Amino acid sequence: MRNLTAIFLTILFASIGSASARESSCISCHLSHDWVADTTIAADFISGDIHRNMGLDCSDCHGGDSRKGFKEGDPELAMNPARGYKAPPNRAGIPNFCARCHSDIEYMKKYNPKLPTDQLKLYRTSVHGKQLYGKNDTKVAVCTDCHGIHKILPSGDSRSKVYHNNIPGTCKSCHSDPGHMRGYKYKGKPIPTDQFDEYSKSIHGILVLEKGDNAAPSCNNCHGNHGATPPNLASVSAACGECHASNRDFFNNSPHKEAWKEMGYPECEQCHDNHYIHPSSDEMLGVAAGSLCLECHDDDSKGYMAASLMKASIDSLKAALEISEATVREAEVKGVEGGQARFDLGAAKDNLTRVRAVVHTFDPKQVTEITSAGIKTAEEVQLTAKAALGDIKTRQIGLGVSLIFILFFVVALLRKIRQVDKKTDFTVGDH
Amino acid sequence: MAEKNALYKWFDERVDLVNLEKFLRHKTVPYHRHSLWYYVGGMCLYLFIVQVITGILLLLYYKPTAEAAYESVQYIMTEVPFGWLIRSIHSYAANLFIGFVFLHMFSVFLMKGYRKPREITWITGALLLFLAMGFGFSGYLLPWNQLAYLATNVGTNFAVMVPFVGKWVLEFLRGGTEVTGATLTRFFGFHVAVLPGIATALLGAHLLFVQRQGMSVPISIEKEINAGKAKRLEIPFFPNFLYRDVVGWSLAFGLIILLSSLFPWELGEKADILKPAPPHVKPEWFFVFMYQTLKYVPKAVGVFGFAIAGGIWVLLPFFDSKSNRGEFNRLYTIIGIAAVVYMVVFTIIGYVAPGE
Amino acid sequence: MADEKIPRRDAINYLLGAGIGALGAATLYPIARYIIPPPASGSGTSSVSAGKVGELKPNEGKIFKFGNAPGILILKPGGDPASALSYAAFTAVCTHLNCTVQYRTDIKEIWCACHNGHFDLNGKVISGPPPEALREFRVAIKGDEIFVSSEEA
Ligand code: HEM
Ligand code: FES
Repeated sequence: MRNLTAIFLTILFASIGSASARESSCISCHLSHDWVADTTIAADFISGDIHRNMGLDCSDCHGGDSRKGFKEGDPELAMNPARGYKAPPNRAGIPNFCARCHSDIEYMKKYNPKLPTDQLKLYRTSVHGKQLYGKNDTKVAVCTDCHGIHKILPSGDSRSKVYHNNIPGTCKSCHSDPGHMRGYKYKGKPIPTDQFDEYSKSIHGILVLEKGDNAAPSCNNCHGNHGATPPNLASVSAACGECHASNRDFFNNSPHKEAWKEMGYPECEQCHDNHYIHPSSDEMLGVAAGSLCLECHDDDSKGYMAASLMKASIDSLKAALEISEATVREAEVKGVEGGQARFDLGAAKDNLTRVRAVVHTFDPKQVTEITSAGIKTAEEVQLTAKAALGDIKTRQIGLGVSLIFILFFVVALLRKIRQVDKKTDFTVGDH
Repeated sequence: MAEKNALYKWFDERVDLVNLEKFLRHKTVPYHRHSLWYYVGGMCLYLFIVQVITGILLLLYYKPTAEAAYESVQYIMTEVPFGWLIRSIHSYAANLFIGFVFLHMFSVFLMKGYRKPREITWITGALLLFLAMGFGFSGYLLPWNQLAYLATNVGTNFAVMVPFVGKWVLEFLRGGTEVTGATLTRFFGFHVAVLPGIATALLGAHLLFVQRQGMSVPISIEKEINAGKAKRLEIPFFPNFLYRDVVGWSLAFGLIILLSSLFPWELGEKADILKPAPPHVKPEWFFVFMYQTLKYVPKAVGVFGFAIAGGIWVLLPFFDSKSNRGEFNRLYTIIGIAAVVYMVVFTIIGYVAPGE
Repeated sequence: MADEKIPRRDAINYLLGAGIGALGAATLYPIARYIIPPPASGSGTSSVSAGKVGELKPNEGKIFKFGNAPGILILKPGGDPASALSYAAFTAVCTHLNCTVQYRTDIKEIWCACHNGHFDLNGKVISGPPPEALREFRVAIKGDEIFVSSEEA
């Protein structure tokens, strides 16, 4: 039973002033070395715990009467079983302990209407939950392992262990510890402990861990958080597709979709891997050594031809862009090109970015459509830049005309000089 | 001018053109086998005027800030009709100008044209040479491209060698401790206001003295005349001499527009302060002989040496007492030739020698 | 007969006069052309003319050149073409991998074709891989010209 008066008082106090200014006999004792040896629990709780900030008090979780005991000098008055006081739960009891409130829709709505209330339900489906409830394994994570105990911060607080960018470090504390993970198996094999290391090398890991970019995925984006499980094949690509939507759509309409499903291949992961997403390169495509297509497609098969064709068309687009870029650069340095060419070249470059997405259709026709459009633009740009460099004819015509004028003038002047010289006596004194 | 027309008369009544014409007709220039050199100074004057005109035209579109300078020059080069021509003329004529100023100076030196009573003409001229180099140095930075940016970095850095106030001079030149947009704005001010102002004044004095004293005749020719081996000849300045001047100017103009049209002056890449400097930054060609020399001698010694040499060079007429007495001074001729050889050789080394 | 009447001296003077005239014209023509400002609206990238009033209908967008990079100008749905407030202008360079974005009349969003990135009319990312909003430009109308400037609004 929840103490309705407490709630009433909470709301009352919260509306009067700062919640942390409230008197609580629990905290008063638990902060005092006269009464307890370890004061960190209370100190933690009053230093930013979300529950405390929301106006909750010790008794809201632990029961008892928080108004009594300290003044009277009698802890029994506070920790009174008659007033609902219960000893703190053990590890196995923690999920249910938190869920008393967190699974209560009506109750949670009052504090945070957006917060889900299905955490326990999800937890039970997770590997953690199954181990805990099915095998009595208390080594698995329970709520407090990730969220903390008495200094629980909301997940949006960057100091929280469950803040998006901190999650890999939080999972790592168990999953990268070989001692902790010893004996656990997945599909008959020991669970590896290198996920964090792999992840931190991947583009996602670099973005999250080094650049602090919380748009890139963290562990939970693929594995779920409360319902953490190894994702199945389809759900990984669904997770990728959340951001890489066009690649997902291209792939889903490609011949690989059905074929790979039949063969039990994953989708994105098959080429890009999972924790360590390799920096992708155009060399993944094609029929040269190192191409991933060759892993399945034999020489001269249809897929082989398609791979070769797509790679060749991308290569020729890149070559065209490079040549065009070089010419444009030269024209800029020479000062005959003022930006229009570079602007137009940007459009040609878009085609390269686009085609790197469209390859996921694995359809040479769609790929070459984009590459040829790009090549065409690149060539046009190169031509204009070249024309500017090779120099516009009008300049040379103008130059020619001017030089003729000058020559004409000089010749006339020379004759004039001869004429005036003839009439001049250069000897001194005759002027 | 046989029949004076109405316009001539109109002006004559007001400013006495007849008198001016008389004056022009009476002004003469010595005529002998070295008189070709007398045209070089006039060529400098002509190129200076070309610079003033094209410079003013560039000012119509140029923007002297780090953010806009490069773009505005690019705009001049690509969008403004004939902008490429104006800018290229300004750039080629600038280099030609400095080249001709050197030529003028050395020809005057070797003909001992500085000797008494033309000391002040020489001094103003020498100062004009420094100004011309200042024009080149400050103008080079204005397009705010990478090469100029780096060269300016290196060039202004020599200022710290100035004893006692080096740091102050450096900051005065750069408008701060580093070459930045502030330097650009400052150099712009030097290039279009400070230097032209001083140059015009000096040039006025220079020409005034030339006008008052007439041209000197080299000592060797003078001797030949005195010995009766040659006749003293003079060519009327107007129109005979001036017409010849104009022939030279026209040919120079032809050369400039030829270069400008076939090889428009480059724009380069926009200056990027964050980009690391490439190893071999070279100053403009007319600084290369000094730059190269400083690679062989301790920098402070070199800079000090050039300062002293420059000072002596300015005051040279006062040292050459032999020439002042009208005697041929072989030593000075050798010094002059040695100076030319030194500058030419070190400039060439600067261009062909691999970087340090 | 003309040969006899006009002395040689005058012939040279005429030649000289013609030479001066031709040379003068050849010099003054480029200078005159140079002095007249070209139609493009000046150098520098801090503000450009992005179009004319009436060029866009409500719920339409266009790409314009802003320096060397594309910008996008949008007349918002239901907006008054004569009011600067009805327009929105952004850099058209997608914050994901630099493709040029476009305005989608059907969904009234800015859209990047490369990886299906969507932005709203404040430039904010709605969905897709772009990590950041598009930088917004200030729009002003002078006469019938729509000016876009990169200065902070
Ligand atoms: C801005 C650059 C300069 C201009 C426009 C200029 C212009 C002229 C002109 C038009 C003349 C008369 C014609 C001639 O002798 O060639 C002259 C004479 C002279 N200049 Fe310069 N000059 C410049 C720089 C110099 C320099 C750098 C020096 C030497 C350091 C110099 C020293 C002289 C001397 C001594 C004369 C008299 C020569 C004589 O009487 O024989 N000038 N200058
Ligand atoms: S480049 Fe725009 S979404 Fe990828």
